[in-house]
Amino acid sequence: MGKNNVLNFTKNNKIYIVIFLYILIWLFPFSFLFRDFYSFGNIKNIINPQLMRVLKFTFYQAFFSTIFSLIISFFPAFYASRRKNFIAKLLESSIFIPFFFPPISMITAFSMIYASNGFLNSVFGIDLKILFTIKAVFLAHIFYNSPIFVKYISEALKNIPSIFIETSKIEGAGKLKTFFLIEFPLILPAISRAFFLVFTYCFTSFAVILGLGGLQFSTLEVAISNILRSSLDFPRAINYALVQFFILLIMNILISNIKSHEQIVEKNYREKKISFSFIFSILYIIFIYSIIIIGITAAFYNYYDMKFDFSGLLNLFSDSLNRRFPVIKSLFNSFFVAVVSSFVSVSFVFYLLKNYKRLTSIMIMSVMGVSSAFLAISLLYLNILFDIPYILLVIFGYILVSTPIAFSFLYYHVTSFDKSLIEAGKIDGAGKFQIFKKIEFPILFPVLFSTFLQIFAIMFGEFTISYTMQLRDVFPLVSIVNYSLSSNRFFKESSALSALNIIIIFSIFYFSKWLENKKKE
Amino acid sequence: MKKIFMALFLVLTLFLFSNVLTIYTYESLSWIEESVISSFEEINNCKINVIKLGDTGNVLNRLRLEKIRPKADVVIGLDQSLSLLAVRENLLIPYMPNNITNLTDLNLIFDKDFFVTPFDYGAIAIIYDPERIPVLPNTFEDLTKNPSSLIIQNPRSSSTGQAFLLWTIAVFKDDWQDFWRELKPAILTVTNGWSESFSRFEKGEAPMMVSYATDGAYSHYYYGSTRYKAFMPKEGGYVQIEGAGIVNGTKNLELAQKFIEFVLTDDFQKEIPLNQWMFPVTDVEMSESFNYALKPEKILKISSEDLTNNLEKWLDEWEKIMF
Repeated sequence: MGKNNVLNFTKNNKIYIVIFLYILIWLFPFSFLFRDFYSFGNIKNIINPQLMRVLKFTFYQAFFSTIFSLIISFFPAFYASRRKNFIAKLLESSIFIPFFFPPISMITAFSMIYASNGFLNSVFGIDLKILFTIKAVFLAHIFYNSPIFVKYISEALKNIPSIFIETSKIEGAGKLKTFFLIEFPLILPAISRAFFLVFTYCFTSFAVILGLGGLQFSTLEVAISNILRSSLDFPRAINYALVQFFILLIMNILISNIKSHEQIVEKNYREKKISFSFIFSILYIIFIYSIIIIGITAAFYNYYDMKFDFSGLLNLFSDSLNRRFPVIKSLFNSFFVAVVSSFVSVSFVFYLLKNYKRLTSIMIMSVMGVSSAFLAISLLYLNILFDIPYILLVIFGYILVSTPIAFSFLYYHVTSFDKSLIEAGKIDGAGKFQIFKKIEFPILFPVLFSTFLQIFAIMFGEFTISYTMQLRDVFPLVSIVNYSLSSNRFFKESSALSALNIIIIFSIFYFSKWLENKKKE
Repeated sequence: MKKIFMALFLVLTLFLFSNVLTIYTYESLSWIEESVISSFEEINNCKINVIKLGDTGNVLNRLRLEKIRPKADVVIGLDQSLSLLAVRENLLIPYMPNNITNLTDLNLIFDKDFFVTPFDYGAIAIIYDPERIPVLPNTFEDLTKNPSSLIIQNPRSSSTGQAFLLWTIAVFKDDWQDFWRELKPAILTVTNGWSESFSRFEKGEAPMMVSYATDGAYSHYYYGSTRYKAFMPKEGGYVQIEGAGIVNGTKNLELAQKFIEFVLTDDFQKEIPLNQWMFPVTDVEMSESFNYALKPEKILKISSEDLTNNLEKWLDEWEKIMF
């Protein structure tokens, strides 16, 4: 075995050890729950009528939410691919919603618009009566996830070389024929990827179901959290979690096997008469951005009484409110845990991707199917058994949850890094650290930093873990304090805090995008 | 440097040796932090740490999770049925407070072994907005006639929700499941706790919700009128009695016992009517708003034996109907 082979062997082993440790770390919190509350005999009862009912509903709502999101996003995507104007920009910018828009802020804004005494009814006399129905669940999922379709489909359409379309025209094909025979097959992989991604998000939906549907519309994730918070029927919760895990694992494998049509071509912004798409896009923008605008303006405008009201915003930072609802403390806590967990997960993912192996993808992405509610109770149990401070447990949980997200954000950028630059550094005698410091870091900094900011934004508004762990009094985080404000009828304060969250996350997202664009320039 | 060490030592000493009593309760009992806790802290030279965990079912669940390493000393807010579960699972220890004779009605003692000491009570009722429900419901059957109009609580997580389920079982006996199947279309949503339900009801998201007969008093006190009315079906009422108990494994037994006695003192009891909107168990002055609270003419009960044998089964059956 030559020296190089030995070095490669050691390097390969090291990364496998890291991956193995990563999986062990994931299993660590769960092991104590399994030890104390589960016997493998329980697995016999894994399939029961109750589970089948919840599973059936979870599939039903996820499937139709995805189909509706696809249908609604199709014309806006078409428009965004054909135009390069302000409307197209607004459509493409909506992509921040599925990943970053805080769920509690969405629920607050949704209620203000669609409740019987909300904006729509007060101003236009339209009472849709959709809250706490399956329609509200569908609508909220469309709001959350249709931007994914808009982004994927519009990008795929832009990537079709114009020569294909021109040739089709010369051959005498009409618009419809060109679309179905040329464009559609080329965008199908993008639609499929988006479809599976949206389906996965809807399948694990938590806050939307809880806030706008109610417990009668329980998905697997809501049922798991509910069982763990209320009846402590661990065998049942674990069975639900296992079913969810394997379904999402299959989904992830399917997503990763879809090869998209990626060809570097000059973006085609073909100017055509697209009046229907334009009208539909405008309506779509109104639907999407009305929730954001109302969510923000609710900080100083009371949409139930239809008047300006700054009292909620002012009261948010008052001593009396903070004694009962630790808003200020929660902002600091959320900020701190989000910074630390994003930094660690981005650094860790960078290391993994630098030493990328096929197994890395499989292992990292497979944990995306783990129930956050279950992770939350496992972390709480660690606190009970070992008095591990909540702050450490939350950071630990957030790192686990955010690692696969950071992985998917950074994957392309790090794996496609120009290796010749590193080789050149090595030839010049630079060590590993020097190569990192002088070559990799400066080039990748904008991407690493923007990913850090995006992960920060997601973790700042995280809800499932903080809700299931019931952290309000022991380690308040902003999402759970906001939820408590709303549940305790502090509507103005809740709206103000929601608005503040949207503004923080919106600013961070746009700053991160600005950084990414700078890198491209 | 010396000062820093001194300060650190002081903080550590306070942390390790201070007299801290940890109380678990549900969200809407949070008023005790603002009004009554400080007087107990002063009298007993201690610090009270109140942890609010959603609704009562969540509190009981946390006690179960912590069974091998309890962190709480006292739990307050368990009602008759949830107390039964807590006692059965060995989560509480008995203690008969010295001032138990303060109780105006000894029938309120639902746990004769004193694992739980009652501190308030009130009848479950349906509250409604008369502007949106013009025809006053009179029976349980009437509730089924208004589609998507009622907010209820999950009986697994909420004591109010559980009391409502038990109420219907007390009324319909073996046919209670048929009633729930009929009621289902009238239910707008199921929340995890009473606070969340009331928040949605006050926002106007539904015209009716399962709550308490004392809500007429609340409405009169805050709105100067009975803007929200309570109704109790003619079949009879169901009274929920809430109690406090000492957690099995407490490290502050003496202080915990003092707290159980404290809940029966005037200092605590006089705050119940206008904060908890329930009836106190001792003889304290009542606000005149309580004249607007409904009083059941007939009280329905479920025997402890029935509860012990069937509660889990009933909850499972309810879930099958609802979810």
